[in-house]
Amino acid sequence: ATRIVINNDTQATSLKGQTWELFKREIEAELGPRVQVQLHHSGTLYDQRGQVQALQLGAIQFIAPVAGIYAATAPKLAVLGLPYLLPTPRALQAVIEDEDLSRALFGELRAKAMEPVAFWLNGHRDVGRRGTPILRPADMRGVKIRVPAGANYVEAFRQLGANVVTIDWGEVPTALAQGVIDAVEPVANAWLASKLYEIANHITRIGYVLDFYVVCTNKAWWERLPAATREAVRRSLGKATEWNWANTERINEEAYQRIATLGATVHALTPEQRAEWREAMRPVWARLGNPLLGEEVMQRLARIGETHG
Amino acid sequence: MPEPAAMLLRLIDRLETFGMAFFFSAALIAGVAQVVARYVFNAGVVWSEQAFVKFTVWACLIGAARAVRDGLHVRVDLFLDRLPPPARRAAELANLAINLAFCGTMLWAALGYLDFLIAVGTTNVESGVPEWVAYLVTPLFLALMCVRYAALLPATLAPPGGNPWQPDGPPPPAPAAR
Amino acid sequence: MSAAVATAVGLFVLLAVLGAPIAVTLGASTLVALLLFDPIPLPLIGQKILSNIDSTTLMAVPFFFLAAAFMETGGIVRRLVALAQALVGHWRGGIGMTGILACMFFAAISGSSGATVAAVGGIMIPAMIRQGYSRRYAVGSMTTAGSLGILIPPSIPMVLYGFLTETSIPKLFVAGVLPGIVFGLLLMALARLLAIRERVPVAPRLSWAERRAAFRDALPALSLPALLVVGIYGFPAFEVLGHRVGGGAIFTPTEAAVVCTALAALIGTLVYRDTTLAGLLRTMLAVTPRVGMIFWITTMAILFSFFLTQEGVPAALAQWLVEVRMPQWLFLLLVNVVLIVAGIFMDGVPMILLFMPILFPAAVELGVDPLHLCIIVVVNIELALISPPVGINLYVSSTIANVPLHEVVIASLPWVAVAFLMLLLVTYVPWLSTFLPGVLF
Ligand code: NA
Ligand code: NA
Repeated sequence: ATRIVINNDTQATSLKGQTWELFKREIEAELGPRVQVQLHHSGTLYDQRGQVQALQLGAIQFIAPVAGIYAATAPKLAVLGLPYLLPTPRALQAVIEDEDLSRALFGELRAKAMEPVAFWLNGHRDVGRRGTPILRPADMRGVKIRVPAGANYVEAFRQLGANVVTIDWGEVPTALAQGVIDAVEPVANAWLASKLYEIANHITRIGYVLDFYVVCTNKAWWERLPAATREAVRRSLGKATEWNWANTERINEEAYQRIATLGATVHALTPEQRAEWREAMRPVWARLGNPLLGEEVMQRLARIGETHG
Repeated sequence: MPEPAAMLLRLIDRLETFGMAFFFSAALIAGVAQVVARYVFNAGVVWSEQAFVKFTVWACLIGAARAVRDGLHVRVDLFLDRLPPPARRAAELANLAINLAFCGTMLWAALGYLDFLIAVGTTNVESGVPEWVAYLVTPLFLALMCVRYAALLPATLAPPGGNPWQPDGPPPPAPAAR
Repeated sequence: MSAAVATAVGLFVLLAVLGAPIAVTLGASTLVALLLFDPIPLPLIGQKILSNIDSTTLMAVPFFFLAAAFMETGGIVRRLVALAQALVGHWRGGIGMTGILACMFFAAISGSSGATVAAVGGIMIPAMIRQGYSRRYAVGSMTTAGSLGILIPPSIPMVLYGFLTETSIPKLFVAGVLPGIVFGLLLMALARLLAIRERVPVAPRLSWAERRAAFRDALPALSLPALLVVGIYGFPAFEVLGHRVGGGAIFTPTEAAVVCTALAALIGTLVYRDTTLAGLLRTMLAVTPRVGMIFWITTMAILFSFFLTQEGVPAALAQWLVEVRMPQWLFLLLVNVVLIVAGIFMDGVPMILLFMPILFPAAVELGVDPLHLCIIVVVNIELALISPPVGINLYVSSTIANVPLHEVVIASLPWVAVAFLMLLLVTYVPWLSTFLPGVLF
C-alpha cells in the first residue's frame, strides 16, 4: 500500500484539523486498502518550521502551514499576507487562478521540491485587548502586541507605532494574563479555542489579514504516483477544500457569537473605519512587496484585491 | 599521548572555553536587552528572542562536548561497578566504541542537514540570517564529541582498574555545591 | 508491539545496563530501530538534534542553573541560608522544611520543574549538607519538591493541556493551587519526620538581635526573589507627576531566569563584593558543560518520543484504553498506569501531546472534569520527571550534588512514595482540583 504521512501543525479539533480528517476519510473511501494514511496532529511529528524540510526530503507527503512559514524557503509568498492586500477568499482565488501571478508566486516552491496542491482558509485576523477596545489605528500606538513571526504581520503594526513582539504562541496565554503583552490578533476560531477572549475581552474585527494555508506535497513523490492514484488523491483534496471554503466563514461567525455569549465584546467596524485601517497599513505593501515581486506585479495584486474587495 | 594529539586537545580546550564563555555571555546580554528594550524603551526587537535562544543553545552544546572530557555525562554504572576488572575493561571498550559510532553517525546526519540547508537556502524570517549559519554548531559539537571520545581511548586500553571516563578522578562539584 | 518498538526498547535496556551515557542510550536505540525498520532521511535526524532544544521555554533551565551558581559565588546563598538558619535552624528539620517551602514559592515564579530544581536545589542542597543533613536527604527532598514547579502555577504543561483540550488556562492554574499546597505540606511533614529519624543536628536558638543582623545582611539578597515576583506578577499601577507607572508584568517566566542571573551577578560583584567578573566567568564555565549534558539528553529523549509517535505507540495505547469499556475509577487508574509507564521513557511535554488527544474526549465522556484530569496528568508528569532513567529532575540533582544517577534515584525513594500518595489523592478526590476554580469562576 502507498503510505501517506500527513503532518498537521494544529490540533485535531481546529478548522484545519477537521479539514485534514475529512481529506483522510475521503482518500480511504476512494482507495481503500491501497493506501495507508497516517495523520499526525498538534505537530507531534515535526514542528511548524521542521515540517517544510521533512516534506522536501520526502519523509512526509502532505503539510499545510500558513503561507508565512514558507517564507523562509520561498520569500515571495509573504506578499500574500500583506495587510488588506487580498481581503477576501475571492481575491485569493483570483490570484491562484491567474497563471502569471501563480507562476511568479509559487515557482520558488516548485524549484525547491514542493508542489502546492490546494489552499485552505483560516479566516481574518482580528485584534483584541484587555479592558479597553482598540477601534482606530491611532489606538495601536505604544500597544505591546504579539504577532506571528513574519515580516508582513510585524510591519503592519510597526507602521501604526505599536510595540511588536513575536513570542511563541505557546507562551501567549501566560504573557497576556500577566500583562507582558497587551494585545493579540488571531482569527475567530483561534480566539475561541485558545480562550484568550477571557483575558483580552475587547476584540475588534479589523480583519487585516486573510489567513490561509498552502497545502503542499513532495513534488517528486507526487509525480511518481500512479496517475489513477494521483487523480483519486486530487479528488479527495478537492472535496476537503470545498468543505473548508464552504464552512470557514460559518465556523468563524459562530465562534464570535459564542465568544459574545461568554462575556467578551466583539466590535464590528463601519466601512469608513475599515478604510482608515487599510490606509494606515497600506504603506507596508510597497515597502515589503516591491523588493520581492517588483512594482508591476504588486499593482496587479492590488487591482485584484480592489476588484474582489 | 603523542605530542601533536596533545596539542590538538589543548587547542580544542581553548576553543571550547572561548565558545562557552562568549555565547553564554552574549545570550545573557541579549536576554536582558530584550526585557529592557520592551519595558523601559517600549520597543520590541524582533530578532532578539532568536539571538537569545540560539546563543544559549550554542554555548550549551559546546559545553556538552566539554562534559565528555570532564566525565560529566550521566550514565548507569551500577552494573559495571560489580564486574571483575577485565570484564569491566571489555565493557568500557564496547561502550567507547558505541559512543564513537553513535556520535559519528549523528555527525554524518548533521552534515547531511547542513548540506541540505545550504542547498535550499532557507533564511530565518526574524533575523535574516541564513539557517545554516545558526545550525553550524551541531556538526561542530558532534565533531568535538568524536574527538573527546577518541581521546579517552588510551585510558580505556590501559590496564584495568580505573574509570576511563574520568581518568583524572571524579569531577569537581558544581560551583553551587562547593 | 511492533518489531521496531521491541528493538528500540531492548537496545535501550541493553545500553543502559552496559553503562552508556543516557543520551546515547536513547539516541542509539532510536537510530538503530529507525534505520532497520522505518528509515527516514538521515538529515532529518540532523535537523531534530537542534530543533528539539531550540525553544524559548527550555532556556529557563540553563539560566536558573547559572543564577543559582552566581548566587553561590556571589555570597547570596550564604546570607540567605544564614537567615533561614537564624529563623528556623533551632528547629529539627527546619532547614529541610525551608527547602520545600522555597520550592513552593519558586514554583509560583517558574513554570518548569527542571528550573525549580536547578534554582532552589542549587542553593538548598549545599546548604543542607553544610548544616549536617545527609546528602541523601538533601538530594531526595529537592529532586522531588522541585517537581512542584509544574503543579503550582504558572505551569508549562498546564498551558499545553489548556491549548490542546480547549480548557481555560486561568482555571487550570487555579486548579493546581490546592493540590500544590497539599503536596508541599505532605513533603514538609516528611521532611520533619526524616529529619527526626536522621537526628540532623540542631543549631542553638539565636537572640532577636542576632536574627535582625542576619536579616539586615540578607536584605540585598532578599531583593532578588522580591524583584522576581514583581517582575512576573506586576505591581499595582500608580501615577508619578501624571505619568502612569507599572500595572502589568515586566517579563515572561523565561525572561525572569535571565534577569535573575543578571541581578545575582550585580549583587555578588557590586553589593556584597564576594566575587569579581573573573569569578563569575569561572562559574559560568563550570556550569555550561553540566547544562550541555542535560540538553544533549533532552534532545535525544525527544528524538525517542518522535520515534514512538511515528510507530503509533502512544496512540495505540490510548486507543486501547478508550475502547475497553470500564467504569470511571478503573479508567483513571489505568490512565495513571499508562502515564507512569510512558513517564519512564519520556518527559512532560510529549506525554501531553501524544496522549491527551485520545484520552481527553474519553475521560470527558466518562464524566471526568477536564480540570480534574489535568491535575492527574500534571502529577503523573511530576512522577515522570523523577522516574529513572529519563527524568530531568534526576539529572539536575545529580549534577548539582555530584552524585551518580542511581544514588539520586535511591535518595528520592521515600519522597517519591509521597508523590504516589499525592497521585492517589488527586485521582480519587476530584474536589481537590475543582473546589477552588468553582469558588473563583
Ligand atoms: Na509553577
Ligand atoms: Na521518567
